[in-house]
Amino acid sequence: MIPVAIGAFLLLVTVVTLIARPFIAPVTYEEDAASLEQLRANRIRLRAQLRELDMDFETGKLASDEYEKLRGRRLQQIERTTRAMREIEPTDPAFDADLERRIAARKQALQRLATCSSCNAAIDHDDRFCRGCGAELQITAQVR
Amino acid sequence: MTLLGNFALLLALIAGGWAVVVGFAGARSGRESAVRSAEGAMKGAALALSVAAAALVVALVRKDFSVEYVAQYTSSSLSTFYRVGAFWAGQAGSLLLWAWVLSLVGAGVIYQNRARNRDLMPWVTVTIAVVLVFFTVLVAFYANPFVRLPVAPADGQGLNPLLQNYGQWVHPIALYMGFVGFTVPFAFAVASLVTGRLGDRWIRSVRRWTLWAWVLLTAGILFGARWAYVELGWGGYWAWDPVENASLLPWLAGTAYLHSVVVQEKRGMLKVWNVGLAVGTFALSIFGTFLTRSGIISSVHAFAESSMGPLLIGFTFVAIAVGTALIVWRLPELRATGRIGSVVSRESAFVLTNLLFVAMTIVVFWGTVYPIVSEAIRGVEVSVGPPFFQALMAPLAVITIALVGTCPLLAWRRASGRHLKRNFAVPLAVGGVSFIALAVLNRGAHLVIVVILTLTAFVLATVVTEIWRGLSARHHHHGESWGRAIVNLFAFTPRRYGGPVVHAGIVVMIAAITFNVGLKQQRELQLPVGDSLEIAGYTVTFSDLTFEQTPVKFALIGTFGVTGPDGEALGTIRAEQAEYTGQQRITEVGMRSTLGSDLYVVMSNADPSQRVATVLVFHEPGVFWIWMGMVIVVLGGVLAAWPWRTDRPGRSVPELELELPNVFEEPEVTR
Repeated sequence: MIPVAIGAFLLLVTVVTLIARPFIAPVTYEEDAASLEQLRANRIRLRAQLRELDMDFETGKLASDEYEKLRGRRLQQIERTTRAMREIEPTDPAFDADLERRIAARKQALQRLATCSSCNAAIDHDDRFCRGCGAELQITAQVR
Repeated sequence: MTLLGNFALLLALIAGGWAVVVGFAGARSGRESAVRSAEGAMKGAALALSVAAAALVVALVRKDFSVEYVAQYTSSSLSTFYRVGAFWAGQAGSLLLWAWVLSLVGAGVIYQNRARNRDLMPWVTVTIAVVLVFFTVLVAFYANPFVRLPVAPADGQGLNPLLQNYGQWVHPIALYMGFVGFTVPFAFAVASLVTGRLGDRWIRSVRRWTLWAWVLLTAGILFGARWAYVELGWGGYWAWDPVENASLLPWLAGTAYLHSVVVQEKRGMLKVWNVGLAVGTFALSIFGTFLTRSGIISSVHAFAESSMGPLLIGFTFVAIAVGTALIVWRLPELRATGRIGSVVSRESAFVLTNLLFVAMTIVVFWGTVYPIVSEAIRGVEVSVGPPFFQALMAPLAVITIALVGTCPLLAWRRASGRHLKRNFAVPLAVGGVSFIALAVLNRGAHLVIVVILTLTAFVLATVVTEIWRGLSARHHHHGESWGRAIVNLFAFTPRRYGGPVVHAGIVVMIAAITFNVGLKQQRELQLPVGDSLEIAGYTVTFSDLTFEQTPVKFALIGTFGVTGPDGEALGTIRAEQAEYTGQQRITEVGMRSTLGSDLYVVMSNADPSQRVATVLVFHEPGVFWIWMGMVIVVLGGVLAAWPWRTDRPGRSVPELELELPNVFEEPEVTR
C-alpha cells in the first residue's frame, strides 16, 4: 500500500509541476534566434524541393520550359531566404562554416584534377581526357 | 493497483480538462503561459495514463482476479503472453489503450512542435485534449478496467480461444494506433481553419504522422484479414463484416487524403477536399470505434459489444459538425490558387483517384449503415452481404488499378505527346504482351482474371520503370554509385518512391484476391476415418481421429494425408475441434501452404465413437501472394514514412517553418 501511495504522490507532483511551470518559469524563445532557425529550416526545405524538382525533370515529369521557370523561382526563393538570414545575423556561423566547407571541397577537387595521374601533364578541371597521354580522367568528387 | 489505476485515470481526466479550458483561454487571449500550461497538462495526462496502463498490466500479470476485468478475460492457465495481450481483449482495456496511445501521440506532437507552428499549436492542443477527455471519461465512468469484485473468484473465465493467436499482439494495437494517429491531421486541420493559416504548412507538419497512421492502420487491417483466414475456419479473409468495414472506412478516406494533399502541395488545389478529408477520416475513425464497441450491428466481433454507442455516435457527429462549420466559415479563403492545366495531366489523375476513393468510402459506408437506417425507418431488419460490396467495389477497384498504373507516368500540368510516348511505351508493351500470353494460355477463359493480371503487369512495369528512371537519374546526373543511388532515392524523395512500392503491393494483393476468388474450390463431406475426397487434383485422406486432454481444453484431432495429382505423398495436415474450459467450441484450421495454393481443412461435428467427422476442404490458389502483397504494402509505407535525415542542420536545431508562397501558387504567365 505504501509504495502505491508514494507512486500516486509522485505522479501528482509531476503532473502539477508540468501544469504550473509555464506560469512560474515561462519558457522563452528568443525572437531573432527563433526566426533565424525558421529561415534556416526553410532554406533546407526549399533546397529539398529544388532537388525534387530536378528529379521531376530528370525522370520526365516536367517539360523543360516548365522546369526552367519553376527552378528559377525556387532559386530566387532560396536567395531571398539567404539574404533574410544575412540581415538577421550577418555572420551566421553555421552558414559561414557551410560556405567554407564548400569552398574547401571545391578547391580540393580542383587540385585533385590539376595534373594527370598517368603522365603528370597539366589539365583543366573540366577535361575528360588528358591532353598529354590521352588517358581518361576520373572525376573523384562531385562538387555542386 | 486498482486504486492507483483509478487515481491515475482521474488525474489524467483533470489534466485533460485543464488542457481544454486553459488551452482554449490561452488560444483566445494569446497568453503563451496558458498555452504552455495546457501543453504541460497534456504531457501530464500522458504520464498519468501510462501509469494507469502499467497498473492494468501489473494486475493482469499478477493474476489479480479480484479485478473484474482480469477475472473476465484471463485465467490462471493462460500464458503471460496472452495475459498481457488480454489488456485490449475487452471493452474497458481497449478504450484505455485508445486513450493512452492518444495521450502519447498528443505529447509527441507537443514536444515536436515546442518551437515551431506556435500559431497553430494552441488549437492543436485543445483539439487533441477534447478527444482525450472524451475517451478518458469513457474509461473512467463507462468502462472502467479497475472495478473490483466483492469476492475474488478462484480462477478467471479465460481468454476467448479465437483471441489466443499472435495476431492479438499485432492486429488490435496496429488498428488503434492507426485510428488514433488520424487525430493529428484532424487537430492541425481544425487549427489551420480556426487561425486562418490555410496554406500547405499544416499538411507538411502532419505528413509523417499521417503516413505512420496510414501504415499502422493498413498493417492492422491486413493482419486482421490473415488472422480471420487462419483462425475462423471459413476459408476467407474478408467478409465485409461491419467491423471490418469500420476499419476500412477511415483507411479509404485516409488514402484519399494522402493522395489529395500532394496536389495541394504541388499545385495549391483541393484545399477544401483536404480539410474535409482530414475531418472525415477522423470522424470515420471514431465511427469505426462506435461500430466495434456499440454492438449495434451483429458481427463476428460480437465479443466487443456494449452500451456506450450513443456517446460515440454523438461524438462522431460533433466532430463532423465542428469540422463542417469551420470549413463553411473559411470557404471563401479556401479557394484554389492553381487550376488543372490539362485533362491529361497528373493533377487530373490525382483528382480522379480522389473521387474514386471517396466513392468507395460512400459505398462501404452505405452498405454498413443501411441495416441500421432500414431498421430505424422501416422497422425491417435487413442485412447487406458481400454481393452488394463486391458488385460495387470490384469495378471501382479495377479503375483504381488502371489509374495507379497511369498516374505516375503523367507529367504535372500537361503531358506532351513525346512524354506520353516515352513514359508509356514499356508499361504498355509489358501489359500487352501479358494480355496476349494470358489469353492464349487460358484459351479465352477467365477473362476477368486475365484483365486484372494484365493490369497488374502494367502497374508493376510502371513501378519498375519509375524506380529505374529515378535510380538512373541519380546515377548519371548526380554521379552516385548504384548502391548510394538506391539509398538516396528513398532518403531524398521517400514519398515519391515509397508510394510506388505501396502501389506494387496493392496490385499484387488485388491480383491474388481476384485469382483466389475466381479459382477457389471447396468440398464438404461427412467423412469416416480412412475415406478420401478429391479437390483440385489433390486427394485428402482422413487418416486418423485422436483426442488430447489438457487442463485448458479437450481437443479432437483429425489427421489428413495429402497426395498430389501424380499420386505423390505431400505430407499430412492436422485439424482440430477443441472445447476450451468455460468457453465456446472452436475449430483449429489445418493448412498446407505453398507459393501456388493452400489446402485448408476444417473438421467439425467429429464423433470419436463412430470415427466420423464433417470435413470441409478448400483449395485456395494465390493466397500466399495476398500476404506477400501485404508485406510489400507495409514495407513501401514504412519507406515513405521513415524519418530519413537528409540535409538537416542537426538534431539540436529545431526545424521551423515559415509560411512561404508555393511556387505553383503564383499566377500562371500567359504565353
